Amino acid sequence: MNAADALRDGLAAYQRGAKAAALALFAQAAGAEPGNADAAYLHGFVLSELGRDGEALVPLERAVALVPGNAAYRGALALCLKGLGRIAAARAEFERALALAPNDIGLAFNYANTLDGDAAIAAYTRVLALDPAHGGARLNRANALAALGRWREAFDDYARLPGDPRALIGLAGAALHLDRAQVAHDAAQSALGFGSDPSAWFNLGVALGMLGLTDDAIAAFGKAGDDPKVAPAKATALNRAHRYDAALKALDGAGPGFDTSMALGNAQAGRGFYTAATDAFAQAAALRPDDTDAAMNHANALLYRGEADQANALLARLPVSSSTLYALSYADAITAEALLEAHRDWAKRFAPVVAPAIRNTRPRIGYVSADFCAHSCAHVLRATLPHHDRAKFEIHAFSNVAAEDAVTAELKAHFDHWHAIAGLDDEAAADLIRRARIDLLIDLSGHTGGHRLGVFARKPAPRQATWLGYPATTGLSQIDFRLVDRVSDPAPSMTETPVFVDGGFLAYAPPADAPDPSRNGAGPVFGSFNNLAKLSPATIALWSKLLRAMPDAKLILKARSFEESATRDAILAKFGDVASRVELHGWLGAHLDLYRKIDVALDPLPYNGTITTFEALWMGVPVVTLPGRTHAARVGASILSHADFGGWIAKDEAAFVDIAMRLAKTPPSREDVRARFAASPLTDGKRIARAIEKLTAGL
Amino acid sequence: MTADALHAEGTALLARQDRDGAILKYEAALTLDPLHLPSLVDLGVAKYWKRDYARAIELFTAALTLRPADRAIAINLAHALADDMRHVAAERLWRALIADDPSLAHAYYQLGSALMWQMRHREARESFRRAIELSQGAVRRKMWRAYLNAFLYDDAVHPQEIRSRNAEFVAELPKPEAPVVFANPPDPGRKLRIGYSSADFRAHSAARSFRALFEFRDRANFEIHVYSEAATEDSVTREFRALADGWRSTVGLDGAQAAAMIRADGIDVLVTMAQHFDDNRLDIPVMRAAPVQINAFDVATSASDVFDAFLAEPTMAAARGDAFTERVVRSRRVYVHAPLEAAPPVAVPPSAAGAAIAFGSANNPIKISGRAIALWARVLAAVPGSMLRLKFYNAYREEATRLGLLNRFSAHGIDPARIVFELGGVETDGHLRFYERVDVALDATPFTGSTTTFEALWMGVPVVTPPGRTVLSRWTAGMLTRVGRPDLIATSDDHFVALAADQAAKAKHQDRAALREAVRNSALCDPRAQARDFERIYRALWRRYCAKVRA
Repeated sequence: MNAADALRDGLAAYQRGAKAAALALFAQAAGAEPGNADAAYLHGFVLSELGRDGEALVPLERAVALVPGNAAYRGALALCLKGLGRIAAARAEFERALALAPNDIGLAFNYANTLDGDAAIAAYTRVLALDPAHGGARLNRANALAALGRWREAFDDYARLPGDPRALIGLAGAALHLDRAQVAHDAAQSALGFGSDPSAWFNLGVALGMLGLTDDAIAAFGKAGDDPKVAPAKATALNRAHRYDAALKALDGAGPGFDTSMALGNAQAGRGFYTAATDAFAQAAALRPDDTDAAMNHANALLYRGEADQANALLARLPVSSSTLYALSYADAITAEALLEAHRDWAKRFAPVVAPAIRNTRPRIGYVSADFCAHSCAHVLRATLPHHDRAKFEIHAFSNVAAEDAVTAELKAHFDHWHAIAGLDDEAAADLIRRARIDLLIDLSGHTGGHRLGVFARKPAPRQATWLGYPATTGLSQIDFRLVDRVSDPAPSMTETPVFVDGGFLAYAPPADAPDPSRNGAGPVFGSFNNLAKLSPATIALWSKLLRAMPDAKLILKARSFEESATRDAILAKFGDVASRVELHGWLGAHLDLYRKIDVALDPLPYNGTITTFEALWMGVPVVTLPGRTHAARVGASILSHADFGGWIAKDEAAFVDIAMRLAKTPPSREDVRARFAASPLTDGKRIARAIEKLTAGL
Repeated sequence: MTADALHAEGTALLARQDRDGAILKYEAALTLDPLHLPSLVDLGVAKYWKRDYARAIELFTAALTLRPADRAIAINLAHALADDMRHVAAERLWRALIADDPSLAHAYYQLGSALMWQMRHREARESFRRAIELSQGAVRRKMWRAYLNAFLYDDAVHPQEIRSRNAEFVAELPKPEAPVVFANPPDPGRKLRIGYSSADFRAHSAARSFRALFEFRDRANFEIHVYSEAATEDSVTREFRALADGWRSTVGLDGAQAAAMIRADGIDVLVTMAQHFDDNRLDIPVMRAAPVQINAFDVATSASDVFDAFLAEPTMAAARGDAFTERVVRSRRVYVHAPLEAAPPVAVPPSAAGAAIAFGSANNPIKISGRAIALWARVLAAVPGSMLRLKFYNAYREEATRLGLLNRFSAHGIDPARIVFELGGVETDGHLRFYERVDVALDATPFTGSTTTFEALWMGVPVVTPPGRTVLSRWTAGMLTRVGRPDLIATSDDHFVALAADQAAKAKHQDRAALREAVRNSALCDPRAQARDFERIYRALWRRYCAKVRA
């Protein structure tokens, strides 16, 4: 058989799928006619296809040598080189081939597959320019984008491959990184429609956790295989649902790593063990020194174990974020001007936008919050929301709550419409709000955890206000109003227009099941049930001074942080010579009962108590405050002046000590304190409901 | 002697307040002439006043047979039927009277009452509404109160509607033409003059609620003045009069006149009580009679803006389902009850004596809403072999009433044989013996028991109360909290059924004496504490007023 016949028969065999027969015939042709470039090429090509790249190299190089201008020969050689692991040589060969046939889609794709990072992305982009329907190129580009953390672009590519389970899994992963839990959930579910896959189950688990469906999330993680990332992801879902002990259990035996340390830190912080949390976050920060979340959590844990100085040193090194802004309110030395400036700087990241023109005949008020749950904000909402005039106003909730609870269920009754925005990114949430045609949108978070200021920055409602939960300006020019009062903000320092609420900007719904106000045991006993982060160095110095001035007095402190002995020891050390008279309590069940042992409650500075102060007053216990210049430092004065207890507001440290001692020696009737508080505007949330309703028409 | 002559003698005796003598004469006249019309009618009236309704009905019926077109006789008969709790028959008669004269406001009012007793709340409201349209002045206010009161018993009414309807009433009350200026010295610590405005300074359950405010007041710091709307006075009135520093009647005065009088008396804090009931007057505080005005002992919003506070116990206001215009001020001890020292001793629970489980309700049948029936039916279904005993004086004497209720239970699949109606026993002691035949008391909703709940608890019988979101529907819950039994407050319908079944299962081991002691020792029976709480609120609100005036 001559070479030409062998080549013809070989091609026929190849087309039938009989590759072994084809190989034999091509080998024969190449042997018979060594100068035949086609024979050499086909011989090498089939060898390469059969995985025998070592043998393929010689005939392919010969083919290229015989006809250097053939792109197909060079392409085959490049693939062979790639198969041999000689990537750089393969890449060079592809480049030569592409120079000959720049519009060859197959070549371009194969070339792209030899590249990494930005070069790969550019190469796939070229393939897609030639063939926008090229699924492989799109999928690979998406994977390359995802590998670089360019989640938004990756998301867009994955989203254009709806029938591909690999793309769906990728889409779910990208959506999770973009906080679009609902999309991630749907994509992972669709992927699982093609068959079980550990990565799909993993993504589904993370998505369910973000959507607050914790038990379903745990079940999904059960099918996600034994990848080391599963245990920390499971713990993260449990942390989100405040199931910290279960989270710790999930981490038991988990391999070390960044995710494990973060989940561990969050679990320990959640249960009030801030010393353990500090250690875990420090470890995470050491593993990823550039990760701001780790550093931020580390700083927060330090704050909550009473180490404000260390926390502030850490925060000063971090880029400005909502978390660093919030931490400023705890700092002793902060001025109102510096606070405003920092918030303004942060807000520069958002471009000004035009508000939609909306005016409903029954105006719609939307509340945005992550705290429609067992959270201190709920006390104020419970006192206010029921008073909205629902005949005249339609009340909407835009809930960013991670895990709903009994309080969520209770609060739902006060809304006409309930929209979940957890799992929607800022643009999607803003769009939802635009479609709901809201007249007045109210922020209840400021820069605290779970806030959606990014939504407000898009101005989805014509009038926007911030009210609760955060003791400073948002810094956003897109928020028009901030509800405060003349005592909390006598010299307003904010980007919003202040709205002064008569009777105080706060309200409290006293619990129906509170114990009776009474005293149990002997005094004098001072107390504070504020969280440890608020016990700033200045606070501890002032309270120590008070204890020194009254040598028979005790001080009872109660905070979650005191569950942990390491934290207790650290705090007692800060009280120095009066430490023996300081009694620490952890997170007891019968919270309000402990007020029976307290004669006078002390308000911390510069970040005053809010609900803690309300609770003390409801239990009939007087509260002494020393106001500062920031809003956070004036909340105590706002509460006391509006509750008819202006005499307990000190003008300086000496007065603070005097008032506290006088009240400890001759305490007022607890029943009278409660009655005055009960009759005060602070227990009348209707005022605030009216003030908010008025804002629907602007000022 | 002729029947006419005997009748004339009887009427003469009646004029001298000798009702018994008159009755003898009228009876004699009727012996002579059984169809002597004037005697039939006047004896009927006399018997009616003696509360012998059965005989009065016989006499009026006979009279009406003689004179079918006499509306006065028909009206008398209808009243006797109503007071004899024959509400179905009364309804028929009032409808006939209305057909005859559609402008008879009083007939619409009475028809509304008859419908209320049959738990036909919506129709009752329509009838009261018509009565309002047909009347003027003080009578019109009375019709309004009946109309607004009728919303309280209906489980289908939204709190917002209660507010809107009350607002309609407030809208038509006269208001001050110019802002009222008070001369009261704004000194936060001085002795205060408290004015109490009520129609219930008489033998009435409401009077028991505020008696302590008089008896145990802090004399050094508070003076008490009464503005009484009671048309007649009894021994209870006299007791209140003896305890007060000042006493004035508001009967016959319009709101402006009464408010002017109260202002002239220098009252600092005016407390109006149980606004939604009886002849209590909202038109007086609407005219701004005092610098501080308090709405107390009421169960729903007045829909007016003249009050500085609506007093409510924390448990009652806890669910915040009401649509108050007033601000709610929480006071721990709004309600008190005197211990029922004359009550029979606590009994052995019937199931402990081997009888079937008996649930019971001694609530006014007006309170037995559709929702109450549905819940009670679920309880009966959950506890096989149990029965439900119902009693409220003689409310169930009329077969039509009983059948109506039985049909409503049947609709929920409950065998009528499991419902037992009881009659009689107006005297407290016999009334309380009902609880000897009851294991567990089931509360009504949305208007829960008040006195009834207290009586059951005093008899050592647990009262299970349905979930509620309004002050009205949490009255029993408030009481249970204060006697240390919040475990009997249901948080959902399912929970109510489970609680009732659980209490039934435990009934054999009830310690009724212990429950009575718990009630006796609770703040519910501590009138001094109630007086202190009210006075603290008066003082706190007064301080607020002074601060406002000085600012």
